[in-house]
Amino acid sequence: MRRPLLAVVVPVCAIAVGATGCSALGGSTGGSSADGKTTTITLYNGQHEQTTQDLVAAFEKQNPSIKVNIRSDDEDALAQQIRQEGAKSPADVFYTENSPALESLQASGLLAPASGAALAAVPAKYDSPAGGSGGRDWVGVSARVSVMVVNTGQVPAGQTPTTVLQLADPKWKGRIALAGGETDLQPVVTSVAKAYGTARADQWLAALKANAASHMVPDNETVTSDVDRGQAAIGLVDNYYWYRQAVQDGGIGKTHSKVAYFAAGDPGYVLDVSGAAVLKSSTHKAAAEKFQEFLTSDTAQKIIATSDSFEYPIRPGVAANSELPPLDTLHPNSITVADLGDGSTAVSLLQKAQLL
Amino acid sequence: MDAAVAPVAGASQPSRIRPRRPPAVLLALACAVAAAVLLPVVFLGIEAAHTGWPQVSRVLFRSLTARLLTDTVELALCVTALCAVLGTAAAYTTERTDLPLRRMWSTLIVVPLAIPDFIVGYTWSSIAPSLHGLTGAVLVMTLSLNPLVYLPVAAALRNTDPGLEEAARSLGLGPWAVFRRVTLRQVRPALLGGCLMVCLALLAEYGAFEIMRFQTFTTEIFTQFEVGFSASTACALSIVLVLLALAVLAGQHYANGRARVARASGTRRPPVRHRLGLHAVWVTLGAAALAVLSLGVPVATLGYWLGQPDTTTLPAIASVPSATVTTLLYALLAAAAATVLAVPVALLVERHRSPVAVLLERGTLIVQGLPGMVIAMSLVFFAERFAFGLYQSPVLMIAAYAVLFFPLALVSVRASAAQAPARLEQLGRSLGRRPAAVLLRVTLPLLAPGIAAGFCVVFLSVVTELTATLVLLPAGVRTLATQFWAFQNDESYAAAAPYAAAMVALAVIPGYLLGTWFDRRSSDNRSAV
Repeated sequence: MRRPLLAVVVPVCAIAVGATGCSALGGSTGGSSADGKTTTITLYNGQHEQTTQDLVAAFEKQNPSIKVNIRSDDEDALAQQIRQEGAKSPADVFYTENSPALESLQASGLLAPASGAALAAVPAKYDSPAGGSGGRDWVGVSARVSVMVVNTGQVPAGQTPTTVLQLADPKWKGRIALAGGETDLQPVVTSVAKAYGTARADQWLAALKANAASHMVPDNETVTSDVDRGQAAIGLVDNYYWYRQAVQDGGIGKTHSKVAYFAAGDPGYVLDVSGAAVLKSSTHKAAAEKFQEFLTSDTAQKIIATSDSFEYPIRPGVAANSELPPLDTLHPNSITVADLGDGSTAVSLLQKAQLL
Repeated sequence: MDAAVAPVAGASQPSRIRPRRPPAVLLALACAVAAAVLLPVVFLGIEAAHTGWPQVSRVLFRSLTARLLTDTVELALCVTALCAVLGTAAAYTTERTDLPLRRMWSTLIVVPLAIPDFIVGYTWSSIAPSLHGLTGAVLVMTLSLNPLVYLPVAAALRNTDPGLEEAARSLGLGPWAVFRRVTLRQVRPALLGGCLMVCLALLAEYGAFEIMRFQTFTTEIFTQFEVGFSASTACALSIVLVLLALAVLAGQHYANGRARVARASGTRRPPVRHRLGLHAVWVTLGAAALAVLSLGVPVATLGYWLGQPDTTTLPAIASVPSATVTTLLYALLAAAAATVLAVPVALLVERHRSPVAVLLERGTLIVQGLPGMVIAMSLVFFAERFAFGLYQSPVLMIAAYAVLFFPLALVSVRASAAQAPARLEQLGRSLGRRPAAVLLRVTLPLLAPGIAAGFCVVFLSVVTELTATLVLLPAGVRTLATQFWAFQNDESYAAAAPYAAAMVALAVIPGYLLGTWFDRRSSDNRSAV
């Protein structure tokens, strides 16, 4: 009884490892294959997998000689990893949800100048402002806008707040859902601080946190579903979370919540940009640039418009998902990518409020 | 689980013979293993030194740390106390009363161990979304962890001498006084061992608390290291966590040292079971309630979600079959690595006991107090600084599992080594066999049951490991646990369910093998009932 067990386990082990090769263990690092024909680039992906996977599949189809190895994580975690890894980083391309992660790496000189073709493909206001080296190191890929998600049963029409400051009103005590750890919150904090000063932003965050009380949640998906289930009345998120939630729940008609926009120009109404950069340390710059150019191409932008991404494509001439109001009908605050900067002001405000 | 083995191992001493000087090879191997296993602690120290004291103290002495400390301790006290009461009551009921269907209840109480805590959390949170914070965390962890107390206490009750209890009763003590003054004292080491396991599991848990939105040191370290901005903050918090865990280990060691278990008669025999009479109805209802909450709710909820259409917008990086293959490969390799590492240390301690050997063993058992998060993080530091070739590689992942679960393998292999008569090996050598031949033909076959058990325990633990896996798993693949986690984070409960079910299925098989092994072992030790 004893020896047969061991005699079975050991060969099974060996055969299993041998048969499946090491591919099932993962970790194929970038490099060129033995035949010298395919190049593998590593993509550090801070964007949602909903958006990235279809894009990578289309890119690989278009460029059979390039394979993209995806490492997905929170954009902050990946930015932190790139810093730690320094010149040895396995990453070739970094694709983020928001601009501050890219801006901070650009300021540290870790990014390579963006491809001219990619920069030319989208309006300049969505790209990196002039970088530290005078160059522009990252390119905008898609846009999103911060909104409120409101439970229709709990908040009568007409009582929905119109400014982000009203969310801190004590009348919403215990009824706000907030994901302080999500990087999507940072642009809103930066915008409030720019409009009203850091002291006011400080008070606002503290009151907002008090209102969120037991609804401090780990991520925006939870904010959206908590509001939809009536656990909280209002959540502060980027617009696309609500649309994804609606698709998951069987369609937009089946939700118990809606997207509500702030008043035109309100500091809470922030349009921010998701972008991509090639790393200075990349050893496959040509292939990496090709991927960067692809992200701003007509093909990629149409994938963003038609997939479950629900973000706005920014290449001129590509229409957004028909469920979304067109980008040019929105009236966000005038804050720019340069104003959002590397997000360090927002981070220290959030840390002070113990939201991070 | 190893706490359940310990009394069995201690029960048979005769295999240990007068210590001989250990062969140099064995000593060197054991030292190498101990050094490898303790490396994470060293890296943590190096990283902290690199960070510098001002930075570390800034993190340690802010209000968030104090809050984490009180929250973590409060949770640990609540859950440990509840588990101690539930586990002991359940063990007494199945071992010392005439409750009908005792075997069935015993199985139903233990099976939840095969369900990872974060899956229990997910099932509860998916049906009762408002259940979170301390209440939710205490409920989920108590339901998941009480078998850790039940198992050793039931084993101890089975192995203790009922004669003392009978003597006490004949001297006029009532049933409650007998339980408190005799039974409870007899099972005290096992109870403390179980409580220790509960505490350590609580300190290390990440997934269930993240789901229950309850912040502990481990969740905050994860946030700081993975999502946040600061490896140094994570490192400083880890030091507090490790100190907490070491305090738990030390406390248990101290309490155990004072416990003495006396035996009145030389032989063990079946106890006279406490007659429940009509009370059996209430006790049965209680046992049924525990089974429904700890097993029924998770299994039924999982079944419900398996039947729901999967409407997630989140693409799966790994399908169920490919995640299963990845999980299996890692579990097999890690289980092999951990048991191979355990053999030299177990042999050294059991065959050549010396202060050095004991020190080596104790040292390696410190790893028990290191949460997976801390081990994973320190290996990342190590790879970044000293071995970039291993960075994000499968090797680092396997190394983390091997270190993390080394104590489990060691306890199993040691139990076998303690039971195998060393005389057989001496006999082999006296017949002129070379040491290598003796090792291969005599020692290893004698250790086989312990090696197999250790292999199974580590395998099971790897399948259900989440925290270290999230940190170290190489790009491009997902294990069942991490793909489950991606969907659960997305609130895609239906999409997550098949991965959870596959994980439970993979964990049940070695769990069953292990169960039969323990059963055989304890019935070997027991006189026929």
